Amino acid sequence: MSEQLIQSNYRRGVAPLIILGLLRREDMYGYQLVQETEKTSGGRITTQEGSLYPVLYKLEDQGYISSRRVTVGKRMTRVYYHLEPAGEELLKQLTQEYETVTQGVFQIIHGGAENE
Amino acid sequence: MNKNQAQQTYLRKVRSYLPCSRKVKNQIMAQIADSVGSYLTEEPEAAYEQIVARFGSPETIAAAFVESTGTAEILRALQIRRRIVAIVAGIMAVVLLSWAVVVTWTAINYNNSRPGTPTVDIQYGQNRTEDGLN
Repeated sequence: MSEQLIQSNYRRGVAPLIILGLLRREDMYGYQLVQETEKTSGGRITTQEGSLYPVLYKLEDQGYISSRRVTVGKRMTRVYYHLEPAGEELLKQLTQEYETVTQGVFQIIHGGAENE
Repeated sequence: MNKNQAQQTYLRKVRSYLPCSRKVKNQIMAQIADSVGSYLTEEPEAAYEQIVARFGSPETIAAAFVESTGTAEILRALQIRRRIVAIVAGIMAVVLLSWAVVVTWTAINYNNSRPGTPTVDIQYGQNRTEDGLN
């Protein structure tokens, strides 16, 4: 499977889960989310900053996260994202779904469907 | 390409690739522009390729938007697009038909008004010249 397809699958289902999971620890800005994703996953999951923004926009638009601008240094500003209570609930729900699906996929791959 | 050109080129391409409404596009682009601007403050000599390497290609960002969009939303957008195409095609058909009628009517009237040439009297269906009936 090409790297492009792996990253594509990541975005499709997992990106919101990863973003919400990271923001539960602390507020983060865009590039920090990219760095923490790679570091915390042991390099298994990488992404580029631009790809996060459509996902961040949707999460913020639906009230799961909020954002604030912080001035850094003399000229730079960063936008920090914060997990809202609705986002905490969504994170629990997505985590449960992800665990269920992952378990099911492993059972199929390893042929253990009879042990449900 | 200087810093501003690289930044402007990148942002213009990302904007052109994003498949969403102007309102949504403006909001996403504001975030991306902010981050690109911050990056270029730290790396002022960064070229277009370096911006792409850090933030992703315009196609990648557009794909991320599509992949994070629900199926219902995509179908709704496709339905709206089809309706717009149908309406525009309908209007163009009406305009074309109207033009054809006007041109035909003008041609008939022009022929009827030329001296010494047979005219077509649509009302009576008879051939006549200026002198009268044949």
